[in-house]
Amino acid sequence: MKNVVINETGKASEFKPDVIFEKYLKLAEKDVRDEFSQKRNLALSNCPACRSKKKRIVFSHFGFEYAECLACDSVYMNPRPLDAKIKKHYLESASASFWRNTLSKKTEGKRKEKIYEKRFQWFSDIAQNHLPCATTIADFNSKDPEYTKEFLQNGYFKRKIVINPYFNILALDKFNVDASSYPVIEELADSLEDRGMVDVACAFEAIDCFADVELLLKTINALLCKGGLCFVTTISISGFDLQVLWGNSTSIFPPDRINVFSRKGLELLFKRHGFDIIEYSTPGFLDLDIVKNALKKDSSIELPRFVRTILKNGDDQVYQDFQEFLQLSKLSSFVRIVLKKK
Amino acid sequence: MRENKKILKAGIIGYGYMGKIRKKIIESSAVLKLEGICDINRELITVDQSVKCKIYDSYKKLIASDIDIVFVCTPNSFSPQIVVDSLRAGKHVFCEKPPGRTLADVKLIIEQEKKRPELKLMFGFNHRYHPGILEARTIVDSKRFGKILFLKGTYGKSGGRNYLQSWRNQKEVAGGGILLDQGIHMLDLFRYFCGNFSEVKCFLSKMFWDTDVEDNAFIFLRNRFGQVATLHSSATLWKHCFRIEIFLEDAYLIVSGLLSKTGSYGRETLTIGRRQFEDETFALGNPREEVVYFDQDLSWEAEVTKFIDYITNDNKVDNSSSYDALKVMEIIERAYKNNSVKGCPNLAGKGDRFHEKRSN
Repeated sequence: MKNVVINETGKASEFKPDVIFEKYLKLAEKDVRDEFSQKRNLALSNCPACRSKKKRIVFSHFGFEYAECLACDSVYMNPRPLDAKIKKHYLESASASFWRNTLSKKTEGKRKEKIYEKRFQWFSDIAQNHLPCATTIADFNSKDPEYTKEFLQNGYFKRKIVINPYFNILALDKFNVDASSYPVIEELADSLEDRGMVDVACAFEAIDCFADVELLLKTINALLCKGGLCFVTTISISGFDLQVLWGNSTSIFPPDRINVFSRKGLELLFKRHGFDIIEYSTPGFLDLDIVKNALKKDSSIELPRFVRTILKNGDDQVYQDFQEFLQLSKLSSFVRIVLKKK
Repeated sequence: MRENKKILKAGIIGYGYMGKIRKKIIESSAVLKLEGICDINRELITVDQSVKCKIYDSYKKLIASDIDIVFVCTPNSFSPQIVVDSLRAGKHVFCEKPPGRTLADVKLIIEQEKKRPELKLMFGFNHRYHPGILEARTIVDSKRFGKILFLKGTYGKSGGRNYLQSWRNQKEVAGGGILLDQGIHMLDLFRYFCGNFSEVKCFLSKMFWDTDVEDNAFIFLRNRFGQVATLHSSATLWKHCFRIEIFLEDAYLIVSGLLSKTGSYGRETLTIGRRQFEDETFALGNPREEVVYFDQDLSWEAEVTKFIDYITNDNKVDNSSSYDALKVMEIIERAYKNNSVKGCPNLAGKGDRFHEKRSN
């Protein structure tokens, strides 16, 4: 299994400017409380990673409880909304609209440079190495039309399929992208016509906000050809900023993060669904910056003394070295994984 | 229906460091069965309680037995004749590097190989199968970073307590020094990436160890495309080092460290850096790099799997073949001729302060 370390630098505010992100959080909280508060819309779940029933409640966000699996240490919202409700949230809510039209727009340049282009480079490089004849790529559960536009315009793969988008596909019109010229499959279940026909699948931040992860991974596995690759990005509860901030993290809230898997949980989950993990890396560069920002906003947050010392006295070089250590040890919270269908 | 795979019976000749590695690989293979081991020092085998197969005192008896494959793991002076005899006896042969002491040894082997084209002969250039090298090669082959401009390689060890006593450092047995013993791997990799080299320049030195073979070699190669490769092969790198730098038109790749039993070469990594043209006033020369860390060395298994594949599918050996052995030995022979160790300044002797001279 490979681990990739990247000497990238940056600030969390480049992607989530403080004021705009605060506003997004407020809108999201209101939407989530309105949409998911009725108990009939929620279902209890075992650990979505390892299926264990053993758990304990560890914190709550927006009034919804999160449990920690006592078997694999993953953290997950429980009870949780159904996927239809989650999708409706992304399609129709004010907060999702704010994300697409304001937050994403304001950070468009940085997102393109440091997220989208790096993703494309990543999957085209690995595909060239492992599947040089690959022609078909499918992208699952994208929430961002800006990203999907870039995905469709990327030249590496001949055939690009958009599956189960979490935004109105007509939104691509404003980028002068004619979505009708690409295969767009609105529902996961309808995608199975392409069984075994897909070389490469992308699930960027998709397992974080999908209640029925079993269904998502079964579908991806069914669509992929034998030896096909699946690229996954997510955040992991085993990572530094989430371990340190825990319930104080502003990265964990429904429905964006209803699953926050541990490293062990992720490995169990993918192996159970017939995948070999050929890369497990945590090339994040924002962990310390995220913790620093959280402390700036709320100085009463309890942090280990050592972490406070680093934040107080560390210079840029210390930050970089620390992030490099986290990456080397697979302990940054941002995770990227390459799976190969057995 | 389950496919019935033919079991291939194997024998090992030479039960030193490499023989033991081969035993493990054979025993972990689903299609190989270890039938016998031979070493002139029988005790090397008998003290190993994990050996369950027949023990031979004579390699000729082993190759006369009902085996399909011979793994030749003997010192360089013995390997060529054993390979020839094994081929003559109708066995497929896997021979450790180097393929002999001289170019003439390889030619002798090839002469016999040509007489039995149905048999497969492969050499143990396992570095080609290291994960960092495999990934670098895939990247180079994809041509996405353009063509290779040049290669730089360093491969060295410190030389240990028994350096002067080791057969590897005795010309009569080994045929050469560190260049032939370890540098050959790097030269093989240079060929693996850039093909054959027509020009060979070399400086050899006996800098530290007072023996009759070189302890340092500095090689400069150039091929017909103008690609240049430089190697420093050393037995006086006090920290073990394996590093190959591949500079392409649009990027550089660095494979550093080797996954090995002891881990003494450091973690095996592949660094990928993309060329960044910046305003020269502000050029930092420090592009974004991705460093890939590998955690599993399957090179021994992979090369033997490839060998089995050649045998079972009757494919031509096109990787680590006798041609590869011939061409790399040509480079080494030319390097030795270009600057014979006899003519090089002898700075050695310091090693004697710490180590007794060989008794002979």
